[in-house]
Amino acid sequence: MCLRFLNWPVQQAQRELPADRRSHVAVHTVQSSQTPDSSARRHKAPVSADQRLVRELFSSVKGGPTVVAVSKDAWCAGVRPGMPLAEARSMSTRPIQGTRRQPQSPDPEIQFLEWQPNDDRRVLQEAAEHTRRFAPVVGLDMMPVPDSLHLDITGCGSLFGGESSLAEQVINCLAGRNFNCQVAISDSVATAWAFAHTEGHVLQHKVVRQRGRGHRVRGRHAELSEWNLPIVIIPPGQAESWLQPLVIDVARIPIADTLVLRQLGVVTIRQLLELPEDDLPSRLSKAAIRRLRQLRGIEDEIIEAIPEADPVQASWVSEFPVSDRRGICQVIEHLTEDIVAQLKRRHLGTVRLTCQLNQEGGNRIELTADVIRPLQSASELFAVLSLRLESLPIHQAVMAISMQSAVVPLPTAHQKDLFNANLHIDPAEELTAVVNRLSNRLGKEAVLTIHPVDNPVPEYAVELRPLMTSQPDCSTHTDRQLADLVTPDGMQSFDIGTAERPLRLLSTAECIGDADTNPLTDGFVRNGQNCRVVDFTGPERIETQWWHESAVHRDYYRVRTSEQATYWIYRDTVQGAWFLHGIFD
Amino acid sequence: MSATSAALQTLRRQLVQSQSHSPCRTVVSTGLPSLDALLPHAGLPSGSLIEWISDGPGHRASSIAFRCAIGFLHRPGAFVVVDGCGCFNPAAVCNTEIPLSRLLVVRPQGDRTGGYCCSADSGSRDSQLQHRHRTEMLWALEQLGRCSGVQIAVAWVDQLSSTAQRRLQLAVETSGVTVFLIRPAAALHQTSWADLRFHVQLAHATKSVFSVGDRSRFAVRLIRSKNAVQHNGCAWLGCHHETGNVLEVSELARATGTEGAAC
Repeated sequence: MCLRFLNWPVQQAQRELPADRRSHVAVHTVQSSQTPDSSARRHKAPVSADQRLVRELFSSVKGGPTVVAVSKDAWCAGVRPGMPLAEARSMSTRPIQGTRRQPQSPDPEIQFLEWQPNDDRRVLQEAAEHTRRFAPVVGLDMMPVPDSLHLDITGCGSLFGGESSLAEQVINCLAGRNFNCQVAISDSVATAWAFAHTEGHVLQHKVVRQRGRGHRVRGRHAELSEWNLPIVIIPPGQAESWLQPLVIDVARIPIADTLVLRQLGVVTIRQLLELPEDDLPSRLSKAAIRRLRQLRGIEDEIIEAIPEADPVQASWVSEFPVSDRRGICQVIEHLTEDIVAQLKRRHLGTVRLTCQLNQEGGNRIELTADVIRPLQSASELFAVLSLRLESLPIHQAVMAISMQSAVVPLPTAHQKDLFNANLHIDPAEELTAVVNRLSNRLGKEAVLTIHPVDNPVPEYAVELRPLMTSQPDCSTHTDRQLADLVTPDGMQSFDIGTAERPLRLLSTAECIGDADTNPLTDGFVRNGQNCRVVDFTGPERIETQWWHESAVHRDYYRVRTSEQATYWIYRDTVQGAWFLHGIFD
Repeated sequence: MSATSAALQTLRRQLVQSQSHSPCRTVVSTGLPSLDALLPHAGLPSGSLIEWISDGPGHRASSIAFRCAIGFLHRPGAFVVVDGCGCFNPAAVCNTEIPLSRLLVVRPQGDRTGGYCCSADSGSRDSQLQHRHRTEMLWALEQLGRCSGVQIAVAWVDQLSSTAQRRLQLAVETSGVTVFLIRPAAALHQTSWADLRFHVQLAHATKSVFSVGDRSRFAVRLIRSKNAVQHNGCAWLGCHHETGNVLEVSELARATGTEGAAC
């Protein structure tokens, strides 16, 4: 769910004004020479991103203060976003100077207030606290100049009488606190954002077209009022078709890319989605391609949760320090049970437990246990934590332990059969448990999935990626990978080439001869043993283009030695040296 | 019989079944009839520990093991490769019917020790470190052996104590996971808890046999079969020269190129 705060900079400014002076408001940027306040200095990075966006949007007025947003009445008075402040003031009958906090005029016609993006951001985060009871994960829109909150309401609709009822309750809850919002519910973060930032009449055009010619068309005024409702719910699986008529601005692609696309005549999402995917990298930036993939649902987008004001945590302090590992384990087990009890009360799961051990000497040991899918089981979480604890050197007694949990919504649970425990075993769930244990004990880099890469160099023909990413989440991508791993129907074949490759590939090729030798005729030495080549096939030439940074020029031979072993050796055609690269085991 | 008593009988039967812990074993064909003919149940039993002993690196024991693992992939569960040595090349299985999407690689250490290693410098490593890495690898293998989300696990293991092997065998018996251990020739002289034990020997091929378009060949002997009558003889297999696929060798071809095979 995307919760958009309508005309946010103006709405936020209006909230701090008396009711009788809220109608005519314009928010403007401050001159670059003016010193920003302390909060701006604290959040330098986001402010600069906000300012950059405004400069990009209103490129004609880079020099001075510019109007960023205006209220409806100010718009009617002729003030427009992007207008220089001086010009906007001249349009007002009684222009007044001041900041948002200290307006100087007792009765201004148009209130010109300084834009304070940090305050806007902070108030949005405060508003997020009011929505926590509707969704376990609430995040701030990560775009510059955010005006929205993202709520992960997966599985939450039924608790509030359906998604529409949930949306209505969210709007009413915020309206009671003087927030004016509109809501869009869709399959993904990207599509929800797009629909939340689209006016209702644009969506209405699609439906009118679908109804066909014979349908009675009502007056435009009635249709607009009907479609400009604060709640838009897109049926599951239909987001892409509803996106088609929307303009490309709602795809969240950078402004520079939007301009390029407009020059190419690409105005709507339909046109954007029809572009050949292979051509996009040459025309658009990486950020734009990523946004497009998110819009198509190819790439997942994680909602970066706003930290809770009341986090799930537990702690233990004692004046009698614990020195043996068993005692520490016992304390951690109790704390885990406490955390899980809190999670159960809130109907949440966890993907990360962070445990801090404070030692006598003032040392602190931090222990983090990640799980690949949300858990609410004390025994499994403790098992994972104890695996991490086993590998930690604890030389001093521990005086205090605190534990904190990162919360996420729980996946749907499946009931098991009473008599046959194997009947409803989900292999993906079972695999998840073992991946959790292996990744925590051996490290995330130890459990890897395979992804083919279009690269002729043997050592780069496939890419091994950790199944547990450094940012654990309940994303569908991990679920899909787990499902692919265990499902026979999900078998995908990859065509890397028909030529045989050795099953064992040495991480570093062993040099077996210089340019003056020829192992094919003279043999070579490996592990102190002479290997005489009795037969060979080749060469198979593998080389990369000359412009690659580490260009490869190799002639590979498959050789059989007098010991009947089959090896893969190559001659570097540039240096002339010979290397052993693989074993056909 | 009334409906109530029938239902009670069904419930009673289910209760008895639920109390027996061992999952029912199924037999999976290797896809190689001559190898199936050697096996007591004409296939590899699931939930078993199977050893493939090779005379040395480069003798295709791993290729045969991977070939025989394909049959297990028609059932749900992951195909896990425990790569203690870090030398497993996933691109090599692309020519087989093993899909990369079903493959999970576990590398207990990024370092190149612990497994039945093919690297030249493995012998010079610190023995304590090697021992630790070997322990980690066996721990990982046992964890995988206990997980019913895994269908088959393959690992290269050089040294394996009898206790560790017994633990592993009990684990797979309970969970139904099949574990292939690829081991060096030194393992022939060690005791084993494996359900099946194969010895892969490369036949001494002539020049003409190894030439382009032909196949290299090997003899696979079943040297141990737990709780079953052992079949004599060996299966003759070949490896396609271009694709590396493991195939059966015809009787005629076998007669021409078997000078050194100890069968």
